[in-house]
Amino acid sequence: MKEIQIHTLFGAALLSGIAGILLIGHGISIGIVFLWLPFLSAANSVRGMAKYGLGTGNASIGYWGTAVGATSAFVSSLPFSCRSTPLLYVAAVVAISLVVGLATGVLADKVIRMKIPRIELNSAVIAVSTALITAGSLLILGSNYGLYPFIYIIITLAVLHPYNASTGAGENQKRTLMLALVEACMTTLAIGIVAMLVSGSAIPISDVVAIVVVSACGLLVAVVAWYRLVKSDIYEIRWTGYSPAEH
Amino acid sequence: MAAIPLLLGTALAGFLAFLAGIFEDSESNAGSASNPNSQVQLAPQIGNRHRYFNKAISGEPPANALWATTAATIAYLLTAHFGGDAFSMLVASIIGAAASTLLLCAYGVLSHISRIASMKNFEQTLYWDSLLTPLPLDAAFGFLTALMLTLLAFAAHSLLGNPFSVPLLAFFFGITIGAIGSSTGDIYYGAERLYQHYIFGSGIPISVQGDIDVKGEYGYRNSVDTPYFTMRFGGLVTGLAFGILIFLDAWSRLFTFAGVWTSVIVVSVLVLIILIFIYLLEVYTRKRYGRYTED
Repeated sequence: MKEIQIHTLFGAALLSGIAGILLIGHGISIGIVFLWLPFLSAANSVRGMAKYGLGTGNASIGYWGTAVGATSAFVSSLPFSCRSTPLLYVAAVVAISLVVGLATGVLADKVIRMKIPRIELNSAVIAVSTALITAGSLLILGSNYGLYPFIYIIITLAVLHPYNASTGAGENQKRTLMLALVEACMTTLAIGIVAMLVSGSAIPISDVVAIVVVSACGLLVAVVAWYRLVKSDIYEIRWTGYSPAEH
Repeated sequence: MAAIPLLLGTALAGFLAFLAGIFEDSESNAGSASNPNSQVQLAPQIGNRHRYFNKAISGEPPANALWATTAATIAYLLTAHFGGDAFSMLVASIIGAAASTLLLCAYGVLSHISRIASMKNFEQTLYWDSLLTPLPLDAAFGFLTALMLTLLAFAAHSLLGNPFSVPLLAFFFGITIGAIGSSTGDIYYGAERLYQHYIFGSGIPISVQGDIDVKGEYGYRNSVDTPYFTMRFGGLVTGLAFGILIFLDAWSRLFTFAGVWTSVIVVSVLVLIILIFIYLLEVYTRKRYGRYTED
């Protein structure tokens, strides 16, 4: 089966992520659905890097990339207001995360000599994608420093987990990306629920409810689609039993 | 003489950390996380089809950071709504830990099913009961870990006067406890329990990786028996390591002899003492047991 290329998915994720942030910035909170594609793009690049036998390094790539992306978004929110000048803010987020992501990739390749093919490209893709997601989350949750660790770690897990969970000889891109969609919906759902608890939230409560409802619907659809793929890939599903060879 | 809240906070922080360590190690073992995860993953590839719960979420540090940070973030936001006294902190922490447990369950189920779906070539069956029986146990330990770490973050912030916010402290504690659990506690499950048919302490050479015990004292092994076994040693050792770390760190708040530099001096001295102790222990062990031999 033909796989989706990194460039294609990243291009789509970049446009979709920017559209999502601008929509949320203009008060259309269900624009959060456009942030799901950056999750897929980042998870795909984690897959691209970890596929070369990294094993336990999978998680490290996830939090290295998200650290660059999330930090870029946090730093950009200091000089540029994400509410009053959204375009300038998005440009700063993309530019900073792209440069820092590329730089860390080049350092890992040339200085640390990790010898992973296309490490610069993949590290830049993870950084930009997670930066877009972080920027969107900041618009919803507001610039409360107390919430930064939560935003960072919940995006990290959603990005590193799909490939880590699907690792094995029978892994394929389609099922991994579908799992990434499941976890993207789960993450925006969690962000929506936390946004409900924030007093003096950045956006009105009706918009937050809309985010929760849209994410929950997306989660339901994605889980059903993912489970269909699981059923077609898996050896056998049983309620209980032992290995037939031994009994 | 240090103030009463500081003494109380130091004792409470050490106690909570000790409990959190025990629960965290048991949680990771009930789900075969981190080191044992690779061993269980390899097993079907060499013909050992198993009935373990393989919760491949990520390494323990980021996973525990997520549970602790989610619980603490929700608790931190709810405490403001509830009024901010000690009772409201406790109730908010319980609600936060319960919410983070739901996330743990979701990630655990997705991981286990996905990993087995990728094992088609090796004829590994997905048994629902070997996922659904250990899941509540795993969730219970996960809940207790998240609760203890949230309460620890509140204790460090309010009683010990730590300047960082509660969710950030919980994040640090989550990363730390995950690192300790995976380096200290998991060895007991990943390198001993799963390889019980090899000589004790012989390690896991590459040639035997994946050749794990799939049968136990009675019938097939499952992930409910694992924490029952590891809690006798691995869990307590993890608790001891994390408990001592937090307890000794809290000492830096008890003294004020050198102004703002007090904590730096106290912690440096403690680290030096620990390093000397570890060095002497290793020298003693090497002299006592000699070099590693094949037989």
